[in-house]
Amino acid sequence: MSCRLFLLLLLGAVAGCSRGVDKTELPDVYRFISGNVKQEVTINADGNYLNAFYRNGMLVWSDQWRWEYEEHAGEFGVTFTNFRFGIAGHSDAPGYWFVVPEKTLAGVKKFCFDSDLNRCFDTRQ
Amino acid sequence: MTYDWATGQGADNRVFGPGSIQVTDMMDAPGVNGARDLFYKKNAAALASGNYDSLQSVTNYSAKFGLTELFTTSSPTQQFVGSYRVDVLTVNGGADLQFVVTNNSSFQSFGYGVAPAWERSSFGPAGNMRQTYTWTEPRKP
Repeated sequence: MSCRLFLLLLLGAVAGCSRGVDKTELPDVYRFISGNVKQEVTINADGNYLNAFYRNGMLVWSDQWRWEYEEHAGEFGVTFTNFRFGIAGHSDAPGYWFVVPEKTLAGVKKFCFDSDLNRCFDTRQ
Repeated sequence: MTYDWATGQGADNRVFGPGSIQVTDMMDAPGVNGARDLFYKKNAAALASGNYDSLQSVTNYSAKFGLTELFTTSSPTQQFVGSYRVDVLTVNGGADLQFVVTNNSSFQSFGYGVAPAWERSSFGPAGNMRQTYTWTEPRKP
């Protein structure tokens, strides 16, 4: 418990350096790559997003739905409609995915989907 | 479970179903309530019109475990689980909701993201130990 508390306090200090992301900054291409798979989410300013999943560089599936920026449970974030994951360990059933975007000090924007393993879609090229 | 995780003993993947103490502990966890609220908020129009075929699930709802939760959570299951993900799926033609709570107890999550993670097959102690907590509840009218 005390070890976790120390780590939490330390990380809280570091996390204070990260920032939120305004709605106008959201449009961009966000990627997650692991081994031979890649999932790419392209957010467009018109309220649509493109979700594409690749294996070995080949497109496996893609679809396009809507996103909106809204408040939920006291936090502002993005709700994707009919979002599906191609990444193992995550439900591939389409649904509402609410996520709070983050931005690093280096300006990399990200949508994290696995806080246990710190896995995120991000704008690194 | 904390002992099993720390020592690398027991099953790598554990599933807890309805009626278990662990599921009872998780059913009203803050993140579960957040996912449930999101489901009803986003599907309000479909529910009001009785269009149950168009109900949409909630996927990968992220529940974080920070300083506030560390000091305010009395549930031993929630203390062990820490951060987790919630899926809310419509089943039985939209009459019921299936909740699936997923957690990976890893050294990385123990270290709030800055420590490494590894599979138990490579080194047992503090290796990734996955849990799934699942139950079904009637959808509210």
